[in-house]
Amino acid sequence: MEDRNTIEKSYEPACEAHRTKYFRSVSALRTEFKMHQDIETEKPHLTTRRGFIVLCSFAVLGLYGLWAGYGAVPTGLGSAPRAMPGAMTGSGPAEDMDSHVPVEEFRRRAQAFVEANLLPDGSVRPAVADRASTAYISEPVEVYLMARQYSYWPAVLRLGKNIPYRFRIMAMDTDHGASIQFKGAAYMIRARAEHMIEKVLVFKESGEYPIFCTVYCGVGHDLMKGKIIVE
Amino acid sequence: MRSSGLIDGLSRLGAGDKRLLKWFVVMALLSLAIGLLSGALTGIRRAGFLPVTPGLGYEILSLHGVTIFFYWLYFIQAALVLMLACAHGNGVGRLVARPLAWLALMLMITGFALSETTLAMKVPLLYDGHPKLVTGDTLLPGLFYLGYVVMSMGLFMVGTVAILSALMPKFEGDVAPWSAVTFATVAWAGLLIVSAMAGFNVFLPPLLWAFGLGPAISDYAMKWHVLFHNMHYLPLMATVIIWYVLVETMTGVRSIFGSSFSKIVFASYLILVPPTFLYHMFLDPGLSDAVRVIGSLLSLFLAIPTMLVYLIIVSSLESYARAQGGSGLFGWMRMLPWSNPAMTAIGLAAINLAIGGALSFVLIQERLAPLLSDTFFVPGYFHFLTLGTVTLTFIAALLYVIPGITASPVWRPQLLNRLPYIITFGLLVFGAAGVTAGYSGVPRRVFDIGYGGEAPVGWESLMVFVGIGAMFMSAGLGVYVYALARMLWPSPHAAGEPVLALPVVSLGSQRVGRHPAWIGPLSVLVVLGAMAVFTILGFELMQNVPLSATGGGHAHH
Repeated sequence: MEDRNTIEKSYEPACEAHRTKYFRSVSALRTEFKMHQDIETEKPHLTTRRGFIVLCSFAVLGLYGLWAGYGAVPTGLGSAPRAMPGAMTGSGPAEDMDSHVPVEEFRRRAQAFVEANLLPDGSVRPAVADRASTAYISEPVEVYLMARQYSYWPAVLRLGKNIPYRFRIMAMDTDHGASIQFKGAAYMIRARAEHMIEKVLVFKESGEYPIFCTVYCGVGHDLMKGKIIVE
Repeated sequence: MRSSGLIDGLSRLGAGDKRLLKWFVVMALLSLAIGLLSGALTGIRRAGFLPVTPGLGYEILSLHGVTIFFYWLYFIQAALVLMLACAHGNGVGRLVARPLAWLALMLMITGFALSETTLAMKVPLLYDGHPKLVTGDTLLPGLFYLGYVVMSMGLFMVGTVAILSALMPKFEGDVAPWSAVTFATVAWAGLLIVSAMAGFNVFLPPLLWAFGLGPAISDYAMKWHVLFHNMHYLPLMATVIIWYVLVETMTGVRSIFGSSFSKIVFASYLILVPPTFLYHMFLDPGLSDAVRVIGSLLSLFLAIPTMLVYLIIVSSLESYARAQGGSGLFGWMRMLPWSNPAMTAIGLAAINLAIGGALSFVLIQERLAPLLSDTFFVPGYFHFLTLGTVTLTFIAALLYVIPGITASPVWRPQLLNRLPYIITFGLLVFGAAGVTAGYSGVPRRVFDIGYGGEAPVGWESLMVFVGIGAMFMSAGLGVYVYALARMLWPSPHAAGEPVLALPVVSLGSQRVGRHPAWIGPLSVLVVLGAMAVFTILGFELMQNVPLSATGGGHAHH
């Protein structure tokens, strides 16, 4: 027994050392484990979450609200987009849209329009039957405008204020544009070659408004201009 | 020098692949040189500083458009997509079907030669090649269309080789998933193929017509806009992929949002880009009301993938920088390697993207098209994107790619580090004057802007600022082209020197979970605010125009 006790005592320091080492290792492992647990459960900052940046990117859809505020898109509340006050609706259905108008037929109609309304100074004033008697004319007055390399025909139109005009426009050769220049902004119409477009325009202020071509149509593009005089 | 996917990939490339990539880069730089020279001349002619006829002005404008939109952007994309597909990440390190890639290069060079020659011989077309402008002899226009068709064939092959090269590790039994960059590169190559096919769709019929082999063209505009829309967004997708790669190269930072998330975002370009071309056609007669409204709505989604990639990159950078001790709302940015010219280039590219993006969103509202669509607003905003964002980013990539394939060090990096500021200053002058001119109604493609004294007061002054801005932009870009061209040939002083030794920092080793990232979301908020302001300005201007207009339909015959 003595021998056994002696032997056990002689091993005690070593056992103690092993115990200490063991518990330290376990402790270290526990610490490490806890740290990993923390990492596993650590929540990223709000700004570094996927959902947050997805939400930020989709915020661009909020522009729809701005558009709706200006009546430019449907609101889903059962009402159609309202026309923008005091301005133009760039699209919208063509009223009384003529169909299948060949180039020569359009040329013939435009010729007749000019001959019927030509003034001595070369400008054209579309006849308004009841100009003197009514403040507002419900039926638009017809206007024909040919766009061709490198001029508009008629080159000068004389129109009345607050009268609706149904513009029938055709690019006779290649594509053209017609940018009506107001002070500080413009209103553009794009005309594809040999296609007739219709727009009802109402000018609300008197003045002289130049028209410039906005679609490159050849070397004389810079020279292509016309004028609308609203009286 | 820390290794990165880009630098490791470049070092693994074989001599044959490097030679091929070098030729794509040579052609890209040649195109950029011609494009910037013709762009500078266009700008100063527009300002009235260059006494040439409007006819010659349009020829120079065509040269600018053709060479930049088609050849600079396609040659540089071809070089970068091929390089990333084979060499980045777990790529196989070599181009698959390299002879096909050489054939693609030859075809694209042939297309380039045909386009530039026909323009020099005064083909009566702008860069969009609208066949209605052709009068008389159709041989020269036919050769012009042939140039675009041959170039599209080359582009198709480039996309194919890039996809095959990315797939090769899979064929060889590598089961590891693609990295986000390789995945994005394959998506990019796929869109290049789509773009090439759209090119055939637009240019093959007029080519046949010009040589008497097909009927006259009647539906050109729609096809052109489909192609041009893809051409717009493809380089933008490429830009954010390059940012992703360069940020890792220069800072060691990878996405904190995970690779899979990035893959989803890159894939969303494939879904969102093709169907959103309608906004280019809002001014065209013939679109119904419903189509216009749908076009506006779809276009709203266009910004989402680009904003997401921007947020992934900026938020990852900020979070890592804060983990390394960066502080303050903007203070963490000082930790980025701003003495690296590639970092400066992509940093200012991000700012230009914000400005250009905010302005571009005015044009996706169909009701504003009659106010702005064919005005100088368009070049006023898109130069922020084509030059300020895309070109600056591709140049940043070349600052790594060229030394990687030629073993020439970067030429005067300190000088190059100042160029993005000069270009951005020029863009701000050009863009501010151009956008103001656009809101005022200045037509987009007109050289004699005075209209014989009939133009409103102020138009000519605005064009003077456009010309001044163009000169700054061209000067900065000119120095870049010179520097990059010098680096294409081995320097006598380069032997033994490290060639990819641009300054980098190491931000990528710390845990970042709890660190916030505010700048990305805040900058998105600022951009959204700017979009709203520019849109409100447009609506208010329209409401003050003394005109009401309805209709817009047209009749076909």
